[in-house]
Amino acid sequence: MTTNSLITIKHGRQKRQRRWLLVNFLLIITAMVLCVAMLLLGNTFHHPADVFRALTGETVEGVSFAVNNIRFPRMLAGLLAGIAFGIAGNTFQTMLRNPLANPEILGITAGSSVAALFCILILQTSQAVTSFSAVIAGLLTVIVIYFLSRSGAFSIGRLILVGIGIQAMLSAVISYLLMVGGHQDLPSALRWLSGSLNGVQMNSLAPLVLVVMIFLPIIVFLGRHLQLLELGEQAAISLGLRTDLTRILLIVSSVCMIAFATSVTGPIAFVAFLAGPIAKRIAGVGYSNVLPAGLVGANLVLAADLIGQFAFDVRFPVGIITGILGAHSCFIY
Amino acid sequence: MSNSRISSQENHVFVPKTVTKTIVISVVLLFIVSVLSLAFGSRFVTWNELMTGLFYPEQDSYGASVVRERIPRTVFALFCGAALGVSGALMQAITRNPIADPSILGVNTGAALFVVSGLAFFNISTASEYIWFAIAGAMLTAIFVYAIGSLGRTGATPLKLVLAGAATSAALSSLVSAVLIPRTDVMDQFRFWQVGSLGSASWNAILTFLPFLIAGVILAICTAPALNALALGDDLAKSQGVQLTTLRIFSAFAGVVLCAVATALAGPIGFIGLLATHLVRLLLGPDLRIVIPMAAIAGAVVLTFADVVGRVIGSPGELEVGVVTALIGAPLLIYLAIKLKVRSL
Amino acid sequence: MIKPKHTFQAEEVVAGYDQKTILNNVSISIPSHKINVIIGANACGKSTLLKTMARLLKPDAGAVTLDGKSIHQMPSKKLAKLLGLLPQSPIVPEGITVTDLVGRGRYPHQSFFKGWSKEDYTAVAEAMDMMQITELANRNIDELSGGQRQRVWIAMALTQQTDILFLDEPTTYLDITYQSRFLIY
Repeated sequence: MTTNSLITIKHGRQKRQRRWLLVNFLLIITAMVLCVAMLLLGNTFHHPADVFRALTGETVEGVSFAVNNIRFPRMLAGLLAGIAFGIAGNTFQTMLRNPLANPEILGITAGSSVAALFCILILQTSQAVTSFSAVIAGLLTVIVIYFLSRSGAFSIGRLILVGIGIQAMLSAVISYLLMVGGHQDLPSALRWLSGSLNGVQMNSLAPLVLVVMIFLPIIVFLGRHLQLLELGEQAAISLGLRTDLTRILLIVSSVCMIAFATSVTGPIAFVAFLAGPIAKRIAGVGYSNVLPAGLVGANLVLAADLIGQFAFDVRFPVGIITGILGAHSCFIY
Repeated sequence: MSNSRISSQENHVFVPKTVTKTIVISVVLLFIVSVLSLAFGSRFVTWNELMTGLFYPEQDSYGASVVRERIPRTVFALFCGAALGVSGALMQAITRNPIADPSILGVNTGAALFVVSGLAFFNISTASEYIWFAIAGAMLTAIFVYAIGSLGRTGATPLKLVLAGAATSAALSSLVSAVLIPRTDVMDQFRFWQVGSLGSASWNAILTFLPFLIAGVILAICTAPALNALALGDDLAKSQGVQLTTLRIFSAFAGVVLCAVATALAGPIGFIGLLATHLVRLLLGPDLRIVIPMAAIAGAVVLTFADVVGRVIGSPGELEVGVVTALIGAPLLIYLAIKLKVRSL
Repeated sequence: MIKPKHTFQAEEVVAGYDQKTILNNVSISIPSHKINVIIGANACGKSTLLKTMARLLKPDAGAVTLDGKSIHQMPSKKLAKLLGLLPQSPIVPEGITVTDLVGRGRYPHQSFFKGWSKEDYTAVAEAMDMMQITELANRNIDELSGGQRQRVWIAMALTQQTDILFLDEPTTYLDITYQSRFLIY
């Protein structure tokens, strides 16, 4: 009897594992295709061979500049920001067990933006200081939300409501800062408010590359722990998970990824919100959702940017396209 | 939480003395904020200038004309505040949810989207056209948010409604930007829209606004007794002979129209409904026959005051009133979230 | 259920939530190798006692000891191999299959990166046979009835293969057949 059930169990489990692997593989392929498309397409179409030569360092007349200084940074920013938003959003959704709870709605993104705008408009600090303050402010926002929602009996519902309140307040502060800020600093301030891949510079990408390389493995590594947190506090503790430590690690990693991605691309609407649920639907639930969510995020951003660039007469920034996607999914949801 | 409130309400006898006191205090408060609104701004006017501006139309001075400029704005702020206050009170009563407000439920973002679309695609230009577009948008959004929020076994809990509202509102504001981005003319014209501002007030707008305000408030007051019964729960209300569907449709209609009209003319101004209703309930108890009219007065006072604050802080420009109300209102939302019982989430 | 090699004690435990003390100076020694049942009226502190003993709740004073060592100071993964708990109202992730959920009980026995070992599969299969949910193995949890779900959760607690297992109201949702079947095991 046990051998029979063993076979049933193994069979089902392996089937789901194959699906998970296949989905990840396909998502990687589509992301690569989109990346290539981002390099080839632009004001003018460049031949793949030329693009390849330009990327490997050869000087190709009329191609090198566009590819190396415009298209490649744009592509890399889209890829990394997509991964960062997707994974961070999924982490919050899973941890708070609510698909609508993501860093944007909880005010964490707004917290980072307030700090960044304060640095840019009032203190006029360097980009490094600005990004760093954004990370700290994002974390502070989480801490404030957490402690406010702990007075009285703690519940995730309360935490979400408090987060929404914080978000509303911080948005008001953002409007205030925009009003008092000097006009010459407004363009770099607006970067923090609406998602766009326009004019991304290679040197501003370096911190994001580093951050994703550090925190992506950490969160992927914690994926199994995240699955236990999903079962609720009691079950997770009885299974031997150090819940507080895990939660802190997850939150710090997510907030860092979000803040640095936002410093490059601005908050790209709804990627953090959509990536997790989409990944869950196509990859299944049994295996860690971290990697698929990141890949879905990357695909979303890259595809949305291509659509925004080429599908209409007017060029829309990527955040608008993802926002419209989000609006649609709201209606389906 | 509504149950405990109601039981205290039945013991709450509303004696005429309290009525007189309330009316006197309301009038005094309205007077004070009106004077503040006329006197303060990027340029302060003296008492004499204020008097000249108001009562001696033949005399002209710079200060007096500043005061005259501020009259429509003040009247408009009072009316808008009243509309938003009543709208918030209605939404809280219908959804039996202490955290309801046109802005939190995303209803005024819906109104904003329709007005912006109307501007961009249908070339609407008059105040009454704005209003009809806003009403349509607000109506659709309200139905939509309520539908999403009541999905699932537990029905429309405060948390689900608020989340549905926040998500919808985020999505709709993306659509607003999508409409605005290719049309710089519309964008420039209506940038203040995103935050809400009373600066554009004109007598014309006020006159268009007035019939809607009066009709909405009267309808709201008429439904108040039935809404009181609704607070006890659907079953009990039904057993008291309340026509639930009719009641919900009429009162929701009044609430949505009031907020839509205010939004059409002033842009999305948040949290007034939340602030006004809770202020009134705190002071005068939960009886909606009192809460609804008093929410109009409280809303008018709070919004006008917020507008004055915005003009003083923002001097020499102005801080949009929507920003000020969010700064005051959001902490209240957080406070309410902390106070709510876990079970009622 | 406690296997013979262990001693499990609560010593002068004071515990509660926020300012409210529910357990005041409770001492209890759990006899080993037996099924022990705690009975009492509603709201008399059964769950609180169980939570304290299963290290979900930190006592304000006193200690819960396993083999003489305080459980609140032991490494949590090591403790999770010795002591398990079936919570009263666990949370079901949406869309998960029975096998995957039961398998999450293997967490303390697994190391990073590795997939399921042979022991993992055997433990899951045994527990599912015991709870007679093998035919539900690849079904979605959302489709199951309350009683079936409860059996899934018990199976998950069993897969943990702990020497001590606390069950908080384990027979909720179970019909009489399963109640008696479960209590026999």
